[in-house]
Amino acid sequence: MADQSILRVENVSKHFGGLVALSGVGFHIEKGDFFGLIGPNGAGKSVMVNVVSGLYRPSQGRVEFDGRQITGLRPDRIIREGLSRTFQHSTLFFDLSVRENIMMGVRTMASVGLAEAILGTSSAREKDQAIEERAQEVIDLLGLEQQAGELAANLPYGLQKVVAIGMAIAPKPKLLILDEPLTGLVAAEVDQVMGHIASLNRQGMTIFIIEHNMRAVMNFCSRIVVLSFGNKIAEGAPGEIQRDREVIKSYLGE
Amino acid sequence: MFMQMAVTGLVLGSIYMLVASGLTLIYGIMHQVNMAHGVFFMLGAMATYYATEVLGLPYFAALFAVVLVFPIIGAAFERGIFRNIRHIWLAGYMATVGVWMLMEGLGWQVFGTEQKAVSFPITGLIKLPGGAVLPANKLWVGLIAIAIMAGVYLLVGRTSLGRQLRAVEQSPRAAELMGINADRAMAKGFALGVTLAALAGGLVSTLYSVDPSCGSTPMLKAFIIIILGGLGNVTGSVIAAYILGFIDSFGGSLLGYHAGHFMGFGLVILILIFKPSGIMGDE
Amino acid sequence: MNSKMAPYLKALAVMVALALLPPLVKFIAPDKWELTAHICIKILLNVGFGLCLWMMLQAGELSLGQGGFITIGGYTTGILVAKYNLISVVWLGYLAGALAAAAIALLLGYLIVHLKRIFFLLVTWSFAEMLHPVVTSFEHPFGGSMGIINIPPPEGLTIFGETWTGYYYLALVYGFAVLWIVWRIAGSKVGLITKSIGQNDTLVTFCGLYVRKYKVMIFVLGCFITGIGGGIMTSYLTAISPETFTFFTSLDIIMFNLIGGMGTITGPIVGAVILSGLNEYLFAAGYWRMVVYGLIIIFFITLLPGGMISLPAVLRKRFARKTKKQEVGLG
Repeated sequence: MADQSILRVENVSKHFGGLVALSGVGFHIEKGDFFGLIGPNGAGKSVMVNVVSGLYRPSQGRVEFDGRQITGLRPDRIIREGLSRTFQHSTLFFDLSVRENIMMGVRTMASVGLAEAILGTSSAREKDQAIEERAQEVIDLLGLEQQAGELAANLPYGLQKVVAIGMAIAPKPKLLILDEPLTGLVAAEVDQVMGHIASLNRQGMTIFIIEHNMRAVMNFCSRIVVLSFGNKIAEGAPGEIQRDREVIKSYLGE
Repeated sequence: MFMQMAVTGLVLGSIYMLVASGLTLIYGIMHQVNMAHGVFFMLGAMATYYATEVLGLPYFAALFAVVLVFPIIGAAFERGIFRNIRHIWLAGYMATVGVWMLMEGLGWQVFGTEQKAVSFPITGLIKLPGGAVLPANKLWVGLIAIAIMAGVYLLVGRTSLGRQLRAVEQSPRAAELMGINADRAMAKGFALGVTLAALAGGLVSTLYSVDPSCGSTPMLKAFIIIILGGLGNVTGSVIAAYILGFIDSFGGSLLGYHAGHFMGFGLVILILIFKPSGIMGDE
Repeated sequence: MNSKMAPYLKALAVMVALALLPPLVKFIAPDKWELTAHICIKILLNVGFGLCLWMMLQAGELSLGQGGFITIGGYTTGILVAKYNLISVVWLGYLAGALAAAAIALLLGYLIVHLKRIFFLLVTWSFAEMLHPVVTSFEHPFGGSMGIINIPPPEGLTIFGETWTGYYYLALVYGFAVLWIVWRIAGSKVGLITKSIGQNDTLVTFCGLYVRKYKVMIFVLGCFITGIGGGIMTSYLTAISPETFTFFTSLDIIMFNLIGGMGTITGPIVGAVILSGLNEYLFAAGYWRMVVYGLIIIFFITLLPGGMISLPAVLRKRFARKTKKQEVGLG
């Protein structure tokens, strides 16, 4: 069982002073899964993502990624292990072009050194080329060729979210975490984005999506976990979740 | 000698507390660091000088005048200048550096280059239990500073003005919803903050001679205090002010005049080493 | 290939033109050369300092302490070469100054680069201020309030004749070397990382990059280069004392970027030229200098935040808006 898990969350709790955001939450995601995390507002979904990606240290519990302990590691370390995430609100380098934004996500960026950059050595040029090629691949994959040179700030909101996804997939992550990627998108954009994500999943990328859009979650996810007030109240296939009484109560009761 | 240094430390701490708490109050309410704070210290000192030595007013009347006049000056500054820089992206506080330069430069032109000193009405030496001997003005200045801070605590804690300030500090939008005019509250907060600085200037003018650049050292100390005590945290800056006061006093007597500054800076470095997130961390 | 070479060629042309300046001025108005040289040396060294700060500003590091690193570079050079004669080659003295500045920048930087901009500003300011009492208080090795005197020029400088001509060429090489380094970095992937950090360092962390490493790297490099400039300027002045580099030194370097504009690499160059030139007049004006500084700062921050290089674009927009109004019949 453990070999197939890409992410294992064990008994994670998170307090902020007196406020309990997460309480004893545990679940695991297997390689190739299209995994969903849902719950009413304030359930702790974003806190969960922030704990997994290293922005917060859990008050209790452990997180294991691809067999390795990542609890309490710096976020950049975790990202380099092969985890990628997007943010709820449009988070991009707004004064950089689309192409530059996506280049920032490419793994090779971390290996570029100062001396070689100044001197322009052949190793620097090779790395630059690798970065530019990978960025172009992502741009082509997501259909961003037309906007590649545009400043991120000038793009419509929907495209900004696509660029953010591009940044996240550029390093070819083992696990892609999407924090409410569909918020603020119109129906056509939702279909487009879900199409990209589903295609990535079909090609083998494990997806972990946090979303409010029920139609998308139920249509695409293979397994779903439901949080409410920091507690896990249900876990299972979409059909089971839709019929679960606790889940229905937590959504209607708010 | 210990008592001597300790009491001097208390006095210094009380003065620093006045300047620093005004600065941190302004930050708490307006989320803007007022790099021109030292200017108000200097103006307070100059105003006190002119009121007593030129106009011949008794000293305490001059201080009282400061309390009356400076809130108006402060509010005018806030309305005229600081309000407009609040929305600047990179570093609105750099504009306050400009205000500082402008005002100090004008100060040199208007007030001239000779040092000015104000005489405190009570003279002589006072003997304290424990063997410390303090000039009367030093002791009284310390006591007055403490009294002023007590007044500020009452103001912020008990009055409706204080409630307004605290509400806007927490959340300007929520305060607006409660019927508080956030802009006006910020102006009042600013006015209060700079008046404290001006009072500190008026008090210090009786201890040391002053010139138009006299505001920069207290301001540097105030910034160290705020780094130590936490931006916006008035109680923190009170504690840090006394710590720095003691450091300056003991360091100054034992190690020489400048020792205080590097020890204060050294303290900042130590805190950064051991509690790096204690100073607000990343943007 | 042509567009890649264009900036190189432009810079080369300017450098050649500047290299020919001494013989030209000596031919036209020989008695004016010394003064011209002094102004140019100041401008060129300031360009170097301004570019270093520009690089730091890209990463969000607003330092009000660059004067401190100039001081460190200068004092190190002076102490090793003049006071104790530990180093006989002045060029090595410059290197030692740069290494000292870089070492201190490493220690300080590691502790403070993660701070919010305002705290970074305050700590760097406080650090630079603290150096004054340190060097004033100790006769050994800093020479107390008298400082260090009789610092010789670097070897070989006199092949150009008078020392000021030699220093002119030295400053020219320094300025262009700094320009090259900063330009290379800005155009590289490291430069992209630096720019991104200045915009959103949390996002950079989530791109898998250890932000602190890059911020410290840029800060240390900038202070290293500044230290060299400090050594050069100090040997040029032949002496250094606690009063040589002040708060205004640090403020000036920020103002080069403010006046010129921080958007591109040309900004600090333009700003350094303008302000250095202006200071030649302002120095005599006494305290009016502070007033002018204040007005300049307020003006640029409120009305022209992009600096002088943004002026053409800003005017164009204003003008375009006006004609648009006329078209619609409102003007």
